[in-house]
Amino acid sequence: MSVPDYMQCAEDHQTLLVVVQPVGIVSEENFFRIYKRISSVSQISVRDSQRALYIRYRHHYPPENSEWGDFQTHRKVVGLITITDCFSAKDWPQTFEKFHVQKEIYGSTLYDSRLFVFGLQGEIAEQPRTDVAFYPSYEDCATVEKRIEDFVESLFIVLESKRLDRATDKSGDKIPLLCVPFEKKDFVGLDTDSRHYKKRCQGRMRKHVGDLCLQAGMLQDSLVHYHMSVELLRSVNDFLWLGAALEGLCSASVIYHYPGGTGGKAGARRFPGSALPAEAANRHRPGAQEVLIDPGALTTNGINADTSMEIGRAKNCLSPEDIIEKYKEAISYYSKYKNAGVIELEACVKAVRVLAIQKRSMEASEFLQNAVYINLRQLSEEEKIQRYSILSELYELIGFHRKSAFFKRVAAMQCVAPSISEPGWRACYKLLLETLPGYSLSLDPQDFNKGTHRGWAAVQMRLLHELVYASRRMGNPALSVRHLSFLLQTMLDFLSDQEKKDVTQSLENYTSKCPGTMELLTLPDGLTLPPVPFTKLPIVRRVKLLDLPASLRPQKMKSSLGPSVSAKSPFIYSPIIAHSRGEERSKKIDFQWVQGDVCEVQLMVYNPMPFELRVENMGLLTSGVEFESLPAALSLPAESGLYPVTLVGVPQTTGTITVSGYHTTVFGVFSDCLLDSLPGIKTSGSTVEVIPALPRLQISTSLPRSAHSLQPSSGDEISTNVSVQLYNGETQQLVVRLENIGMEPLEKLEVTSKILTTKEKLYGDFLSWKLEDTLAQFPLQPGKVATFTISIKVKLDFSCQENLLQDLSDDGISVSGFPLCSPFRQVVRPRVESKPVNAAEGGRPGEPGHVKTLEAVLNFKYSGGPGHVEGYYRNLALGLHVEVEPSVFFTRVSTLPATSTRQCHLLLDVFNATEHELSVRARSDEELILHAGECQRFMPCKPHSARWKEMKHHDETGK
Amino acid sequence: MAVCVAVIAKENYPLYIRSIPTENELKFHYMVHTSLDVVDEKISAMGKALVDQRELYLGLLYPTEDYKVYGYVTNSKVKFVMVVDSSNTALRDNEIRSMFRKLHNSYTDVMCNPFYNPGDRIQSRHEGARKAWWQELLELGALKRLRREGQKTCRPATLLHQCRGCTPQ
Repeated sequence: MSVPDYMQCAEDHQTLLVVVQPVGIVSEENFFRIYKRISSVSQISVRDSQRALYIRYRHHYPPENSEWGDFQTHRKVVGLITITDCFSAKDWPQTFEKFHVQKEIYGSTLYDSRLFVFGLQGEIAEQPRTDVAFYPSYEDCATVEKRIEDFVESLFIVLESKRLDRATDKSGDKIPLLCVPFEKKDFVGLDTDSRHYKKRCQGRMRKHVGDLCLQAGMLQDSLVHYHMSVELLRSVNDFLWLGAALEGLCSASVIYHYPGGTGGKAGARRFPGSALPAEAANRHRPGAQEVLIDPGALTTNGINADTSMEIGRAKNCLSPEDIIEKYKEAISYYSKYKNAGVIELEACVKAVRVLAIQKRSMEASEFLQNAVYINLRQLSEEEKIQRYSILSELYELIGFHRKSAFFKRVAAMQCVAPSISEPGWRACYKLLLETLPGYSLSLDPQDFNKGTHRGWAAVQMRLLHELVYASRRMGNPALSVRHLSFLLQTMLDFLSDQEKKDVTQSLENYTSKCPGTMELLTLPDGLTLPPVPFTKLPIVRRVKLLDLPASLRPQKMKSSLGPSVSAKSPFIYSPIIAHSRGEERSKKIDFQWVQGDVCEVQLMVYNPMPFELRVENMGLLTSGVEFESLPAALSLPAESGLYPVTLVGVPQTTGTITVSGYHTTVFGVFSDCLLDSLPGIKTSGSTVEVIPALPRLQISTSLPRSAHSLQPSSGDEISTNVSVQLYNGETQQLVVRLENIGMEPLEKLEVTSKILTTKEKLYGDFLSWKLEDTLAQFPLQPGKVATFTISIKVKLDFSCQENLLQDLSDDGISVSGFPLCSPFRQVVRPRVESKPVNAAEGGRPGEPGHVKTLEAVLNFKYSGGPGHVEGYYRNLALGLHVEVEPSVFFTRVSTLPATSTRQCHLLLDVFNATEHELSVRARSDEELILHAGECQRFMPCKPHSARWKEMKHHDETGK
Repeated sequence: MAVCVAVIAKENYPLYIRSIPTENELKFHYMVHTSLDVVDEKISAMGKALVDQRELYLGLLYPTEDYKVYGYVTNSKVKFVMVVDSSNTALRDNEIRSMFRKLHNSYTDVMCNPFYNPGDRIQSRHEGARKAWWQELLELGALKRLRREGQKTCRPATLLHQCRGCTPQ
């Protein structure tokens, strides 16, 4: 007795053991098909009585275990069914011979046997035989179940006769001593006539009869026999058999108390369908009835039954608490014998199953603890695995999930023990997977997103490492990559720096052969491994969608219908609407992206690793709009702080785009990280509208670019700044090259200018242009260039001092000494008056030589393509910075009375502030040459037309 | 002497676990982890008892070949598990009880720390907590052992150092 049957349970004591075996070459598939049909006949109600018979089928049973059949009769193989293929009559004798050989193996204990022959037809098959059944094929064998039932009945007849035989006759004869294999030599030369010996024989026989009664479905009788046996054996200190008697008592009581069975599925199968309650009810009584029917069974011979026992029958059965007590006692007796280790182990297992039903986990765990320490002979590796697995199963049964996981893991490790020549990595991996719930570990990274990880990190990490290793040895690199990624992702906080390095190193090794994907891995047994996105490598803290640069920002043309905001609601204001709009706004950002233009999203990332992290192929994941993501590669320094990363892409269609996440490739593992599942991420909305494509305009001018940037008042940004230096009064042409660098034709262009508030007083049009010439070239196809000319005319105040005209009025009058010039004053004064006032307001016009600046912004509003249809345009601003150098100044104005009293001469003192010679002309009749820095008096014209003509200076140096 | 002390949260994850032979920490992790089955079982069995009469000390959870595992559960279902060397027969039930009581007091101190978030791992680096915890550990184990070795005058900090130093890392 060396191979324990860990699946045994208490109710197996009432079963008859039948071995079903193939003979010759029978395909496994066919054999198990028949085996399944045979084993469906596991319970038979014996005719003429209400007793039920239970059959336990095994397709493999070591014959030496059968030798313990006297000790516990359910261990004895009483029936043999052999299944064989035989296709011709020629083979038949040989086949039949094999059947006999097979019978010999279990020969000593067999009650009966059957041979099922498949495939044989003809003469031999015709002859009626009880021990052989012929079937033409595996499909055509409808009577198998019937045959088995007959077979079981024949077994019952033998059993019943044995029972009656043992129980009744031999009144005068000596009772033989039953013994277990290892005892045989102990009794050699023992005095067989002593009372002690007789009692021992009686006790053992009683126990044996109890077993037979139990098997024959006479529960109450068996209880009686067991009780008596216990008494007898206790008195002679026959501990091994006393243990067996106690165990028998327990088994019978368990069968009585728990008709549903203790063995889980096996038990349930015994009472299929609705037959269960009826069967259960039947099973409680048969013993009593049998005794009444067959009173002689117990009343004769030396092992006589006391008739008074019938009264106390109910008391014979142990209470649930007593069952455990007796099991304990039995096990303690078994433990005295080294050779009974298997019996002890099986008794422990049976007791645990009973306790599991009683929900007494603590006591069950004590039994299991004991079972762990039962030392059988040197176990083979396979047996060890089996033992640990069953321990794990039993712990699971009593609700000790952690302990169960522990033993399962031990079993898994046993599968790949170094002593095994062919390590079973597949089995190891499978067992390891089963331990996951026990360590409260799920392989779904989603479960780890909720805050900090809470679990047995050290233990879980070990398990994950083992999973990685097992899957690698199993030859499934995809699995090991997945597990390793999971380990890195979820246990990052618990890995030491060195471990981080090691894990990433091995991950890189694995991924070099099999890159990590985002696909769901499905294991053969149906378990799926969800993908593991590396959301912590790098950690993303903030995601911000960026607006297009100002020059490319689309703007909506003002609709003539007016604001459409309130179109949906008749109310001007409603808090509910405001609220819902607020919500909408929180999701949607109020700028637009343009189809075909590069859009940017800024991420703030940091690297939690103690070494440089190379992130490759980092791009955006979007939905709603076809989006061409342009992936970036970055390298983050070790334990970097927050680090901005800009991811770009081009929307290819229009609509509403939602940036749902980003993808990366880190250590060769491809990850899709969705923003929704990222903990602690800050985002300012992730939905943006994409409008149809618009052309892009690039501007270049004939003037040099300026470093000086304008500070625009209205907040729009200026893309290009140009600057020019002009003398006061000078005019220059500014040629603007307009190039369409986009993909859409440029159809519309509007130019507006805005002169930025300046303290200088400006006269006339500063900027003037003619758009028609340019528009004639439109629509401007992509890549084409148009030119646009703007003339810059600088006319600032030519007066030198703020009191210049004050002089005019005061001095002129005083010089002329002419008091009656009120009409002149009334006519002339208003014309000139505006100048001093403005000059005075303007603060300090400055000294001669003071450089003044003028700034203006030219806005090019352009549109075209599909975007134009939708009513969008773009605005490009050109900043113009003009430095105005002084040319001439009128330092003094005076009047001289003319010949007529109604007229006077206007005298101007003109100062040349340039470094060049210049000529001053008024009305082109007189010309005055002024050298640099010279000041002359100048009478420009006829008195009545004291109007300025434009001053021109001649640049002699050609500067 | 205790070889391993663990504080386990209500949700059965470790708040603190430290063992004296540091080289085989994982073994103790497994040991404490599996002992939780028994703790759970004992607690559920105890659930029927009246709250005020509840005994916090759970007694021996299970013995292994080399160690004995004891358990203790606070009213807030925080569990303390202590592993002691089974060869140490000097430790009776009463000693174990008093060790647990000290542990409980220390845990209360940790909870009093305003900088400690309940449910977080207990870091012995927290100045106040560290003192209490290491003192506890030292009292439970290292101190006794070192005292036996005649180093009575050492200050706890150095003791700790030596205790760590004696195990090759």
